[in-house]
Amino acid sequence: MSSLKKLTVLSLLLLFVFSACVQNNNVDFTQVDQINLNQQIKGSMISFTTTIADFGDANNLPFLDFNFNTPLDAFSNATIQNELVKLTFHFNFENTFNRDFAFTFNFLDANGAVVYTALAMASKKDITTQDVIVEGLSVEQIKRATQVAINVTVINSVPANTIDNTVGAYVRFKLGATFDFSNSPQATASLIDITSSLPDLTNFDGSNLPFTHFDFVTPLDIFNNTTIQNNLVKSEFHFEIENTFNRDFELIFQFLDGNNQVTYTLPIVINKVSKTISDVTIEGADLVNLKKSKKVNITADVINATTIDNTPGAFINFKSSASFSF
Amino acid sequence: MKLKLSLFLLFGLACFKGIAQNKPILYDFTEVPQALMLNPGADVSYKWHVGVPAFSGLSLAIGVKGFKVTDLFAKDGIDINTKLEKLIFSRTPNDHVYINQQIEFINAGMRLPNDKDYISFGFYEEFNLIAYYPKDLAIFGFEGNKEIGRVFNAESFKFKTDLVGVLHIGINRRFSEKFNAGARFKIYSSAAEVRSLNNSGLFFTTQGIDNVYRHNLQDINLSIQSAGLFNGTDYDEKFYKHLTNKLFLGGNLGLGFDFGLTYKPNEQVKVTASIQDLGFIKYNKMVTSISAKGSYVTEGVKLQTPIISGVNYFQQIIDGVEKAIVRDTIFKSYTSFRSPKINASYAYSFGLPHSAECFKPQFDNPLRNQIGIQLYSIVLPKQPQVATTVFYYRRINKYLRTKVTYTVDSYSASNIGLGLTSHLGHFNLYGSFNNLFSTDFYNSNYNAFQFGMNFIY
Repeated sequence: MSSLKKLTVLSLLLLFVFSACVQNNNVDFTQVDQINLNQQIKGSMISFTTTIADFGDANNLPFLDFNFNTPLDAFSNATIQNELVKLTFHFNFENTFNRDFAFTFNFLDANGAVVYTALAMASKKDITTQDVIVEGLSVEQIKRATQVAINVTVINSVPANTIDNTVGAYVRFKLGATFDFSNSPQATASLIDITSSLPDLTNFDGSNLPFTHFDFVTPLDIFNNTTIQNNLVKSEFHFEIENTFNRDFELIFQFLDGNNQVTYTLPIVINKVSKTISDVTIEGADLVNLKKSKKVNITADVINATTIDNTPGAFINFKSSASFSF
Repeated sequence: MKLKLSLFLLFGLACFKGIAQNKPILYDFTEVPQALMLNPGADVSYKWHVGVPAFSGLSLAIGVKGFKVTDLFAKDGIDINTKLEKLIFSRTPNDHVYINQQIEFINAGMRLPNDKDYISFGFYEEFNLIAYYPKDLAIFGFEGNKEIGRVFNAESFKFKTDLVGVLHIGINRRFSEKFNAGARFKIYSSAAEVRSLNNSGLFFTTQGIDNVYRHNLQDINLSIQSAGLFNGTDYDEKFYKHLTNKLFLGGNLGLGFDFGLTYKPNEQVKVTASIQDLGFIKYNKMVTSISAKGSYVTEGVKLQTPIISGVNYFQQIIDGVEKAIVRDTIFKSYTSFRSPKINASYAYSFGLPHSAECFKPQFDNPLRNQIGIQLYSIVLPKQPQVATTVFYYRRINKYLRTKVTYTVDSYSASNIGLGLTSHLGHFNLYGSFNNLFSTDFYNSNYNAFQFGMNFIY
């Protein structure tokens, strides 16, 4: 055997020994895309103790309300903007007044518009704890807040709007919060925004009153997407419906597969002369079925009546949006 | 995504183990000139040698303690989040990662006319990374402080990495047929170092008194030092452009020594010992040290009545932390010690003399087989790591010699290694592979190889 052949054989042997050590058919690095970190941060926020002196001169009743606001920079933080998926406020009141107090926390955006409101009540002569959970699309809204305005009013007082002037009475207020973060990709999108007035509704069945029902079917291509099929783990739908008709409606979204089999049904009751806010979360087996959908059949029925209200100017304003978690 | 990245970095840092720079096959494998790099007192008999530039010594060792790639990425049908959670909570702060990579650019040597002394010299590049698993930091990153009362200790955050060029010259003297000793002088030129070794302090959340929670930052003392990477606080964008210069005497400089000896009380017994990298690097170029110290307890902002509208009360929380935990950035030089390595061996030779099989005898070791035991230790930031190796060495024929090792350390009890070196004329080709029977790279705690080519006379 020549030296060259020996060198070749030896080199191949060395190469074989080394390469034999590197196999990757039993690992799958794409699993990293499925990592879902759910960090939870608990934090105290503000606390104060207020006595009767803070409400003004106790002898100068009545007390109407008490307001203050403070800038709130926390929501501009990139991590909060990108990864906060749930926020829980922990309210704790120790109220020794003989009055109930209503606390309203209005979160305001840079333009002063209210983007989220949290309500809490401090019951008289009691210790009250209350958790307010903000999630889904409400979280997206509160992230726009740059300040919070706090309003305190006395309620259920006799006589009305009077503070209890018991010497030594106080309200001890504590506010903590739990921030739930998730690194799962999330997409939020507005869906349908429509305002229907009386002519619109009556035109659906091509006639005038009475109106009891309308429906229409529209294709739904979104679930054909590979990313949606493979990675979507949760869908959250948010509906805001303002109904000035003097009628209740039932709105039904019926998702259908290619064979017109129902994959998922989403009913919403719209009460008359009211504003209805409804959040629907779809995950697990329901989501698996929903992903099979090819179209959606939307029906609206008047309920508790057989005719439409013909009040001039009445309308239904329907807004919807969705948040998809991957 | 930042959380995911952080966790991955933490796990990346937690993957390797500190025994990785052990080269049990190459140690005292005296047919290969690179054995002199592990023991400058090795018993060598060459007249001269020169390595193939940039290919005389390539080595990479990746060691893992407490974690294998398959623990997380195996195709086992288990949700990766389940596996990740199990890993995060089950690993210990002593688990760590160590990577050592070397490329020899120059390696040469010659025997002096006195026939006793052998001078060897060269230049190599070396990259090191050691990082301990920052368990508390990982848990905080994974689940936050949702477990009220859990104490997070900053001490577990400990790592060091550097990229160094080493210019060296060594002398090996044969004092007698029984005794060799040698020393090597090294000039280190560090292109970059980043380290954070002395962190302390506790963070924990308890139920509050004035508010819902009380947050405690207790005796926080965090620091991270870097050299060669930042001009002040700005990253050196010309780092790669200047890398060659930095590695070759243009970086932060240091000095070091290796010492070693070989003793052969008779023709069958050989005892060796060496210590490498007794040295330091003085960092005074492009040095940036960032620290944070202090203690702070908060239950959020306690508003004082009358409450004034418009005041940024939430900012007071941040202001309070920043006031209590003092952050500082300084550009002061510092000294970083190398990680000394100690090797020792006892070998017993037996079998037919080479001359009986027409193999050109070498006067230093006329017997064909050798068995022995080797000890290795490296001083690491937390604690020394120790390994024990038993080996069998055989001169197979005129062209080929081999060494088989079995190494036990605190990480693995199944590390079989194989080294081969061939001599075709004056051309020498060698390779050694650790953990040979761990056929799956990703299911192994330790993978290493050394490879190189020389001309030997």
